[in-house]
Amino acid sequence: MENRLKIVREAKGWSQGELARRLGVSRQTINAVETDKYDPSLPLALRMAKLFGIAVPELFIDRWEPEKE
Amino acid sequence: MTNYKPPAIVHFIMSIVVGFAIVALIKRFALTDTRSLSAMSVSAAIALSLGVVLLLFAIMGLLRLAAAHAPGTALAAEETDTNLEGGRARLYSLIVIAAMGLTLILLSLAGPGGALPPAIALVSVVVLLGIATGLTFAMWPLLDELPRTMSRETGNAAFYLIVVIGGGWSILAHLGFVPAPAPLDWLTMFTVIMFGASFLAVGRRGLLQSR
Repeated sequence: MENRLKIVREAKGWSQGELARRLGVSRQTINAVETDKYDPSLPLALRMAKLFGIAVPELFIDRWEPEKE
Repeated sequence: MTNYKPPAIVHFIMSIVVGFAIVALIKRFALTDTRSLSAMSVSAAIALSLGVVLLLFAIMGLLRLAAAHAPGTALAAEETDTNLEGGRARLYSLIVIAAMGLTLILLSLAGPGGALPPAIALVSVVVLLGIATGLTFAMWPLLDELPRTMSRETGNAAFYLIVVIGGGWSILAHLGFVPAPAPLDWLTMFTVIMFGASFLAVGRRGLLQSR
Protein backbone atom coordinates (compact mmCIF):
# COMPACT_ATOMS: atom_id res chain seq x y z
CA MET A 1 0.00 0.00 0.00
CA GLU A 2 1.28 3.42 -0.94
CA ASN A 3 2.38 5.43 2.07
CA ARG A 4 4.03 8.72 3.07
CA LEU A 5 6.06 7.30 5.94
CA LYS A 6 9.44 8.26 4.50
CA ILE A 7 8.27 11.82 3.82
CA VAL A 8 6.90 12.42 7.32
CA ARG A 9 9.88 10.67 8.93
CA GLU A 10 12.38 12.81 7.05
CA ALA A 11 10.34 15.91 7.87
CA LYS A 12 10.96 15.12 11.53
CA GLY A 13 14.65 14.62 10.80
CA TRP A 14 14.61 11.05 12.09
CA SER A 15 16.57 8.13 10.68
CA GLN A 16 14.88 4.78 10.08
CA GLY A 17 16.63 3.50 13.20
CA GLU A 18 15.33 6.39 15.30
CA LEU A 19 11.76 5.83 14.12
CA ALA A 20 12.11 2.09 14.72
CA ARG A 21 13.31 2.76 18.27
CA ARG A 22 10.38 5.09 18.99
CA LEU A 23 7.89 2.55 17.64
CA GLY A 24 9.51 -0.49 19.25
CA VAL A 25 10.08 -2.34 15.97
CA SER A 26 13.15 -3.21 13.90
CA ARG A 27 14.70 -0.87 11.37
CA GLN A 28 14.11 -3.57 8.78
CA THR A 29 10.37 -3.33 9.40
CA ILE A 30 10.44 0.44 8.89
CA ASN A 31 12.45 -0.02 5.70
CA ALA A 32 10.01 -2.66 4.41
CA VAL A 33 7.03 -0.36 5.06
CA GLU A 34 8.68 2.64 3.42
CA THR A 35 9.62 0.63 0.33
CA ASP A 36 6.08 -0.77 0.11
CA LYS A 37 7.20 -4.35 0.73
CA TYR A 38 5.15 -4.74 3.87
CA ASP A 39 1.82 -3.33 5.05
CA PRO A 40 2.01 -2.86 8.83
CA SER A 41 -0.59 -4.24 11.22
CA LEU A 42 -3.43 -1.94 12.25
CA PRO A 43 -1.92 -1.37 15.75
CA LEU A 44 1.44 -0.37 14.23
CA ALA A 45 -0.24 1.89 11.65
CA LEU A 46 -2.18 3.58 14.47
CA ARG A 47 1.01 4.04 16.51
CA MET A 48 2.78 5.55 13.50
CA ALA A 49 -0.06 7.99 12.88
CA LYS A 50 -0.21 8.92 16.58
CA LEU A 51 3.56 9.47 16.69
CA PHE A 52 3.42 11.88 13.75
CA GLY A 53 0.20 13.51 14.92
CA ILE A 54 -1.71 12.74 11.74
CA ALA A 55 -4.58 10.46 10.73
CA VAL A 56 -3.90 6.97 9.36
CA PRO A 57 -5.39 7.84 5.92
CA GLU A 58 -2.90 10.71 5.68
CA LEU A 59 -0.08 8.25 6.19
CA PHE A 60 -1.37 5.28 4.19
CA ILE A 61 -3.08 6.02 0.92
CA ASP A 62 -5.85 3.71 -0.22
CA ARG A 63 -7.26 4.76 -3.59
CA TRP A 64 -10.28 2.47 -3.30
CA GLU A 65 -13.61 4.25 -3.51
CA PRO A 66 -16.99 2.78 -2.59
CA GLU A 67 -19.49 2.27 -5.40
CA LYS A 68 -21.92 5.14 -5.74
CA GLU A 69 -25.47 4.06 -4.97
CA MET B 1 37.70 -3.39 0.49
CA THR B 2 34.21 -2.97 -0.92
CA ASN B 3 30.85 -2.42 0.69
CA TYR B 4 29.15 -4.86 -1.70
CA LYS B 5 27.00 -7.30 0.25
CA PRO B 6 25.97 -10.46 -1.58
CA PRO B 7 22.33 -11.39 -0.96
CA ALA B 8 21.48 -14.38 1.22
CA ILE B 9 20.52 -16.43 -1.83
CA VAL B 10 24.15 -16.24 -3.02
CA HIS B 11 25.30 -17.69 0.31
CA PHE B 12 22.69 -20.41 0.01
CA ILE B 13 23.76 -21.33 -3.53
CA MET B 14 27.41 -21.30 -2.48
CA SER B 15 26.55 -23.59 0.44
CA ILE B 16 24.75 -25.99 -1.91
CA VAL B 17 27.66 -26.13 -4.34
CA VAL B 18 30.31 -26.52 -1.61
CA GLY B 19 28.19 -28.96 0.39
CA PHE B 20 27.59 -31.30 -2.51
CA ALA B 21 31.25 -30.99 -3.51
CA ILE B 22 32.37 -32.00 0.00
CA VAL B 23 30.09 -35.04 0.02
CA ALA B 24 31.24 -35.99 -3.48
CA LEU B 25 34.90 -35.67 -2.43
CA ILE B 26 34.31 -37.74 0.69
CA LYS B 27 32.72 -40.47 -1.39
CA ARG B 28 35.34 -40.20 -4.13
CA PHE B 29 38.43 -40.25 -1.95
CA ALA B 30 36.99 -42.30 0.90
CA LEU B 31 37.90 -39.90 3.67
CA THR B 32 35.78 -42.00 5.99
CA ASP B 33 34.61 -45.58 6.25
CA THR B 34 34.50 -46.57 2.56
CA ARG B 35 32.20 -49.54 3.02
CA SER B 36 29.59 -47.53 4.94
CA LEU B 37 29.55 -44.72 2.41
CA SER B 38 29.48 -46.94 -0.65
CA ALA B 39 26.58 -48.83 0.90
CA MET B 40 24.75 -45.59 1.57
CA SER B 41 21.30 -45.43 0.04
CA VAL B 42 20.26 -42.62 -2.27
CA SER B 43 18.00 -41.27 0.52
CA ALA B 44 20.92 -41.21 2.97
CA ALA B 45 23.28 -39.61 0.44
CA ILE B 46 20.77 -36.82 -0.28
CA ALA B 47 20.11 -36.28 3.44
CA LEU B 48 23.86 -36.16 4.11
CA SER B 49 24.40 -33.63 1.33
CA LEU B 50 21.55 -31.43 2.52
CA GLY B 51 22.83 -31.66 6.10
CA VAL B 52 26.28 -30.49 5.01
CA VAL B 53 24.72 -27.66 2.98
CA LEU B 54 22.70 -26.45 5.98
CA LEU B 55 25.70 -26.69 8.28
CA LEU B 56 27.82 -24.66 5.85
CA PHE B 57 25.04 -22.10 5.43
CA ALA B 58 24.82 -21.72 9.22
CA ILE B 59 28.60 -21.40 9.59
CA MET B 60 28.73 -18.73 6.85
CA GLY B 61 25.88 -16.87 8.52
CA LEU B 62 27.61 -17.04 11.91
CA LEU B 63 30.82 -15.66 10.38
CA ARG B 64 28.83 -12.85 8.76
CA LEU B 65 27.14 -12.11 12.08
CA ALA B 66 30.46 -12.13 13.93
CA ALA B 67 31.90 -9.75 11.34
CA ALA B 68 29.01 -7.35 11.86
CA HIS B 69 29.69 -7.28 15.59
CA ALA B 70 33.43 -6.88 15.23
CA PRO B 71 34.61 -3.26 15.48
CA GLY B 72 36.11 -1.66 12.39
CA THR B 73 34.77 -4.08 9.83
CA ALA B 74 34.21 -3.07 6.22
CA LEU B 75 30.54 -4.03 6.13
CA ALA B 76 28.18 -1.27 5.09
CA ALA B 77 26.78 0.73 8.00
CA GLU B 78 23.22 -0.27 7.12
CA GLU B 79 24.15 -3.93 7.02
CA THR B 80 25.85 -3.59 10.39
CA ASP B 81 22.76 -1.94 11.86
CA THR B 82 20.56 -4.70 10.52
CA ASN B 83 22.81 -7.39 11.93
CA LEU B 84 23.20 -5.71 15.29
CA GLU B 85 19.53 -5.00 15.87
CA GLY B 86 18.44 -8.58 15.22
CA GLY B 87 21.70 -10.17 16.31
CA ARG B 88 20.37 -12.49 18.99
CA ALA B 89 17.39 -13.66 16.92
CA ARG B 90 19.65 -14.27 13.95
CA LEU B 91 22.16 -16.13 16.13
CA TYR B 92 19.38 -18.41 17.39
CA SER B 93 18.03 -19.03 13.89
CA LEU B 94 21.50 -19.93 12.60
CA ILE B 95 22.00 -22.37 15.48
CA VAL B 96 18.61 -23.92 14.64
CA ILE B 97 19.71 -24.31 11.00
CA ALA B 98 22.98 -25.90 12.13
CA ALA B 99 21.06 -28.27 14.43
CA MET B 100 18.78 -29.28 11.55
CA GLY B 101 21.81 -29.90 9.35
CA LEU B 102 23.57 -31.97 12.01
CA THR B 103 20.37 -33.95 12.57
CA LEU B 104 20.23 -34.91 8.90
CA ILE B 105 23.95 -35.76 8.87
CA LEU B 106 23.65 -38.01 11.94
CA LEU B 107 20.52 -39.73 10.65
CA SER B 108 22.06 -40.32 7.23
CA LEU B 109 25.05 -42.01 8.87
CA ALA B 110 22.94 -44.08 11.24
CA GLY B 111 20.65 -46.05 8.98
CA PRO B 112 20.79 -49.85 8.65
CA GLY B 113 24.44 -50.81 8.18
CA GLY B 114 25.49 -47.19 8.76
CA ALA B 115 28.67 -45.99 10.44
CA LEU B 116 26.87 -44.58 13.49
CA PRO B 117 25.09 -46.78 16.07
CA PRO B 118 21.34 -45.96 16.06
CA ALA B 119 21.21 -45.44 19.86
CA ILE B 120 23.93 -42.78 19.76
CA ALA B 121 22.24 -41.14 16.78
CA LEU B 122 18.89 -41.13 18.57
CA VAL B 123 20.27 -39.48 21.72
CA SER B 124 22.18 -36.91 19.67
CA VAL B 125 19.18 -36.12 17.49
CA VAL B 126 16.88 -35.73 20.51
CA VAL B 127 19.37 -33.28 22.05
CA LEU B 128 19.73 -31.35 18.78
CA LEU B 129 15.98 -31.14 18.21
CA GLY B 130 15.52 -30.09 21.85
CA ILE B 131 18.01 -27.26 21.33
CA ALA B 132 16.31 -26.26 18.07
CA THR B 133 12.86 -26.27 19.68
CA GLY B 134 14.01 -24.32 22.74
CA LEU B 135 15.77 -21.68 20.63
CA THR B 136 12.73 -21.35 18.35
CA PHE B 137 10.55 -20.54 21.36
CA ALA B 138 13.23 -18.19 22.76
CA MET B 139 13.48 -16.43 19.38
CA TRP B 140 9.78 -15.58 19.03
CA PRO B 141 9.66 -12.73 21.61
CA LEU B 142 12.72 -11.17 19.94
CA LEU B 143 10.92 -10.81 16.61
CA ASP B 144 8.75 -7.87 15.67
CA GLU B 145 5.74 -8.07 13.35
CA LEU B 146 7.56 -8.30 10.00
CA PRO B 147 9.54 -11.51 10.72
CA ARG B 148 6.52 -12.94 12.57
CA THR B 149 4.40 -12.34 9.48
CA MET B 150 7.03 -13.96 7.28
CA SER B 151 7.24 -16.89 9.68
CA ARG B 152 3.49 -17.45 9.39
CA GLU B 153 3.70 -17.13 5.60
CA THR B 154 6.52 -19.69 5.61
CA GLY B 155 4.35 -22.12 7.60
CA ASN B 156 1.43 -21.67 5.22
CA ALA B 157 3.56 -22.11 2.11
CA ALA B 158 5.33 -25.14 3.60
CA PHE B 159 2.03 -26.83 4.40
CA TYR B 160 0.78 -26.54 0.82
CA LEU B 161 4.14 -27.56 -0.64
CA ILE B 162 4.19 -30.67 1.56
CA VAL B 163 0.64 -31.51 0.50
CA VAL B 164 1.56 -31.13 -3.17
CA ILE B 165 5.06 -32.67 -3.18
CA GLY B 166 4.70 -35.26 -0.43
CA GLY B 167 1.13 -36.02 -1.37
CA GLY B 168 1.98 -36.24 -5.06
CA TRP B 169 4.88 -38.59 -4.37
CA SER B 170 2.69 -40.76 -2.15
CA ILE B 171 -0.04 -40.96 -4.79
CA LEU B 172 2.45 -42.01 -7.45
CA ALA B 173 4.05 -44.53 -5.06
CA HIS B 174 0.67 -45.95 -4.06
CA LEU B 175 -0.15 -46.47 -7.73
CA GLY B 176 3.19 -48.19 -8.29
CA PHE B 177 4.76 -45.62 -10.60
CA VAL B 178 7.65 -44.71 -8.29
CA PRO B 179 9.23 -46.19 -5.13
CA ALA B 180 7.58 -45.04 -1.89
CA PRO B 181 9.37 -42.30 0.06
CA ALA B 182 11.60 -43.69 2.81
CA PRO B 183 11.34 -42.24 6.34
CA LEU B 184 14.57 -40.32 5.74
CA ASP B 185 13.09 -38.95 2.50
CA TRP B 186 10.24 -37.42 4.49
CA LEU B 187 12.64 -35.76 6.93
CA THR B 188 14.74 -34.43 4.06
CA MET B 189 11.59 -33.25 2.29
CA PHE B 190 10.29 -31.44 5.41
CA THR B 191 13.63 -29.68 5.80
CA VAL B 192 13.97 -28.71 2.13
CA ILE B 193 10.38 -27.49 1.99
CA MET B 194 10.69 -25.44 5.19
CA PHE B 195 13.77 -23.66 3.91
CA GLY B 196 12.35 -23.35 0.39
CA ALA B 197 9.16 -21.85 1.81
CA SER B 198 11.12 -19.38 3.94
CA PHE B 199 13.05 -18.22 0.87
CA LEU B 200 9.74 -17.86 -0.99
CA ALA B 201 8.25 -15.81 1.85
CA VAL B 202 11.29 -13.55 2.13
CA GLY B 203 11.87 -13.33 -1.63
CA ARG B 204 8.22 -12.53 -2.37
CA ARG B 205 8.66 -9.33 -0.39
CA GLY B 206 11.92 -8.59 -2.17
CA LEU B 207 13.84 -8.77 1.10
CA LEU B 208 16.53 -11.25 0.08
CA GLN B 209 18.78 -8.38 -0.99
CA SER B 210 18.70 -6.64 2.37
CA ARG B 211 19.23 -9.63 4.63
